[in-house]
Amino acid sequence: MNKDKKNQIPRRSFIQGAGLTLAGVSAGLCSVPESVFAGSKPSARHPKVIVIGFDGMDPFLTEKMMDTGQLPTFASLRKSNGYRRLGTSNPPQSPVAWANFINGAGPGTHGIFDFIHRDPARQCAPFFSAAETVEGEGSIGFGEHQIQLNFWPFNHSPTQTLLRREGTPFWNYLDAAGIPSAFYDLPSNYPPSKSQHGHHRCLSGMGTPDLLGTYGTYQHYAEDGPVRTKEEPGGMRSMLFFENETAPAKLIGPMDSFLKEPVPITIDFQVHRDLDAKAAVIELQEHTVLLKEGDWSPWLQIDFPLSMPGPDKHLSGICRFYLQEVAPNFRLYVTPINVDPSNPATPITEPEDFSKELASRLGLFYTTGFQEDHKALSNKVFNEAEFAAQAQIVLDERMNLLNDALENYDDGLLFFYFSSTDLQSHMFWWDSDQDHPARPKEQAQQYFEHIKDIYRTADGIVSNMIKDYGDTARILVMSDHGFANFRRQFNLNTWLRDNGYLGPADATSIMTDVDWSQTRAYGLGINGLYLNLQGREKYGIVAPEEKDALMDELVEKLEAVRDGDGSVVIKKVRRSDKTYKGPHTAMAPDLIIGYKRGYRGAWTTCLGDMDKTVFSDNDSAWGADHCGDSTEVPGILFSNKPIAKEDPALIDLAPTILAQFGLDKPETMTGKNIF
Amino acid sequence: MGMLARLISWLNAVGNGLFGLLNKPMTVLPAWLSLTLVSAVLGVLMLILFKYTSNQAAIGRVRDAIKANLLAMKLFKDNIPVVLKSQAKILLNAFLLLVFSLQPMLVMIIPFSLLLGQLGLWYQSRPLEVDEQAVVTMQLADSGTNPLPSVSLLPSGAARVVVGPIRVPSKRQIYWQIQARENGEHTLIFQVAGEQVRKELAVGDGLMPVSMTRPGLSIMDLVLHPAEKPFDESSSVQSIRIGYPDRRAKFTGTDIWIVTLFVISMLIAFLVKPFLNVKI
Repeated sequence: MNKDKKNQIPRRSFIQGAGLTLAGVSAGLCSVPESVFAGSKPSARHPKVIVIGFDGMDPFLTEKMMDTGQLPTFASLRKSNGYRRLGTSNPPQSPVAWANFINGAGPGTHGIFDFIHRDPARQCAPFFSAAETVEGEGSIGFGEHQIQLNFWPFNHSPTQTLLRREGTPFWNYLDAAGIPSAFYDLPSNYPPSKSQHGHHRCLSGMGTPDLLGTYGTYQHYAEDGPVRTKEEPGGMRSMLFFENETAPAKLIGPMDSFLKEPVPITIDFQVHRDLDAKAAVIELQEHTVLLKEGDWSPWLQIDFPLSMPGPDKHLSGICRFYLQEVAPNFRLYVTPINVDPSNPATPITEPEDFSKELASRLGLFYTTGFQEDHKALSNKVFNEAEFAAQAQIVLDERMNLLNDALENYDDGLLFFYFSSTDLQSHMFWWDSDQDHPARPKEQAQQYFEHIKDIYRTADGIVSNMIKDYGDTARILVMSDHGFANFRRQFNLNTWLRDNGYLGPADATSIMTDVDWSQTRAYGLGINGLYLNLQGREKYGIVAPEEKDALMDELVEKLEAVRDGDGSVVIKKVRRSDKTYKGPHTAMAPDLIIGYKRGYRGAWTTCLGDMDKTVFSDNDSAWGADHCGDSTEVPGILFSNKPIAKEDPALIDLAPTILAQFGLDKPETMTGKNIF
Repeated sequence: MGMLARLISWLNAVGNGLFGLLNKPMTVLPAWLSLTLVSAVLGVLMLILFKYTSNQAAIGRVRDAIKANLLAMKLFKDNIPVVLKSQAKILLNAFLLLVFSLQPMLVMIIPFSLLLGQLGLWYQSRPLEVDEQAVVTMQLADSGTNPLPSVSLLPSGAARVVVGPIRVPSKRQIYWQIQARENGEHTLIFQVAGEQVRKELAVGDGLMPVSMTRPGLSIMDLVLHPAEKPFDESSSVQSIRIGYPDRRAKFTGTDIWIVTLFVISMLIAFLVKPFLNVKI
């Protein structure tokens, strides 16, 4: 967008605005006159509202840094009464929190209560809460192939991924009013919801899978790798065997779904190394890539041919290579194979062509929901510096995307999301004098400084935004939750077992060896506790009339849990029947465990496993988290207009945004306008 | 083989001079327009060449026979033996038309192939832009298990080496990644053991000839890559290739320019045919 166009304001609004701006300035407020933002009908031009979402930006650190002059733009907004801590969701998990933001109401309206839900009809079969893949029905067999024909008279239904978030997202109201909205990297919206009136555009964020259908699976090749490709959480490892300094390798792609017994499509490639030059050549399809040690390749488009009895069908994916080491142990990392935005195998934007439009202007970019490869660091494929470098690539790409978004923004709502403040904090946050369980103290401090650098970058982004749009747009800067150290793990299922709620006494997992006839409660997900309820769970034993008493008993006992040094572990256990309201509470856990800062549900308990002990140190590189009690990890909210509401929460933002466009709060929203 | 390769190489040298001269004015035009004009001229030239290298009288007789048999089929459509006989004659005459086309095709195939090679220099790839990177691949002669010779790319103002040389003994190849520095038609100079070898490099944002490969004495490579003098069989270097980017355009891009050329030249030939009195 050119500058002249950007600065166009309807004449009448401009005159009114000028007067009120003067009044505002004289009052010492960094505010924009409301008249500029009042409903602009019948003019084709709409108010401008820009929302920047810094996932996981923490108010305690932000306030400290504002106090010490490290975040001048944020401090200036705070001085103008444009800052509040922002109430988060219960539990404060990203899919839940962002769905609260989207619906302007709590989880009872959107039906997302945790990263992981369970199907009580199958007792406790877990599934991802935000999206569900529904297997297709019907096919015609041709030898070893199967083909689905989704037209009459066959009417086969293909496998599809469905967005499980319920309720009405707030942009639907803008769409219906003819107000344009553009969302970049919006979490909890994959597959992207459809625009009914064509005024809404969205690039899906967190929750978007890679081409393998996972949340991101890197591939790692090394001379000391396993002879047979080995899968690990978030990745795969393979061995490279060099002969005359050349090694063959296979890139593992998506499943060939046209086969009756699907197998992954693999692409052969060659790796040639030059020990003297400390460099390598990678030959893959039509690509020849030269990399020195420490170099990243550009994005490469990879063609995955599907096996079809008829005309050829192909899937396009993109990946980047990173040459970690040439000798003595050759190591090569390949990013997860992302959906190619220029030729998406599955829709990642609304409208579908939006990703092509972005790619035509910007080139290729990360499209998976989790872009920073935290799994590579957790699995020690990356060291800390390598993870920071990869995360910087992500941030640079997103800055580029933001610039493009602003260049193509005229009016209406612009939402832009940054993941850097969340995923890097998970790996690098450590605001404590205590020893970090996974890295030396000095290194922990060094990487926490890196988080502060990201906060300074965020301040710079907002500073530029205010310079360019402060006079013409309402700007909101928000985070979905804050952050806290994750030093100690609490295994809820172990505690339930050791306290006689889950049996037998030597059970190790609710997925394998639990005896449901001895089990009254079980944990699944990060914060969820479920009763084994008769009539709901397949093997339920708790009678409905016992439910209340059992819940009260569990609340009391869990809140009394103390760590070995006497520390309080759980700040609050909430009953979901008293916390959630709305039509979509069927999947809600019965109790929500709200941990104190420093504690979180154990890794093993999230999928129902038990450890030997209830407590353990978290020795993962994932050393910080936010899945505690909602009061422990509020988010941040900044605005270039004074905020009237004393205790704003995520659910207040949707009605606030609608109000900026002169739209009334829908009945489904429980939040309130913050101004 | 060596003789034919040398002949093609000599014809390429002549073609380079001629085509470079003829196409020079085209460089100021957009690629789609220059290709349209080249295709139109080519269509007319092919038609004239066809007229004088084919047996026009015989083609005329065959075409008349086809017309007569088509008429017979129309007039005697109820008489099955006549219809079948006419169909057989039409098929036979169509085959004869193909036979009469062989002579002009044989005459045209060599100049036309060389011409395609020349046009490919202009429309297949685009030159590098300043700061853009490309991979340079040097193929060394297969000399058994001998180690790769010492090779370097001499510094120049045209491009800087970003990565390389990377030596790949299993393929007897050496790679560089270069970054273009300055617009123009440049020459990269390589020091290979005691020998200096050269490769053209095109940097710019307009229409200019792009020689992707300096080939060895392979017939196919000579036809496809006519711009540069081929390497001798005795040279330790057998080819040098620069991975220029594809030319992205609707009508003149990498994957489509040859289709555009054929469609426009055929169309023009059909349009001009009545005026030049050519029977096809």
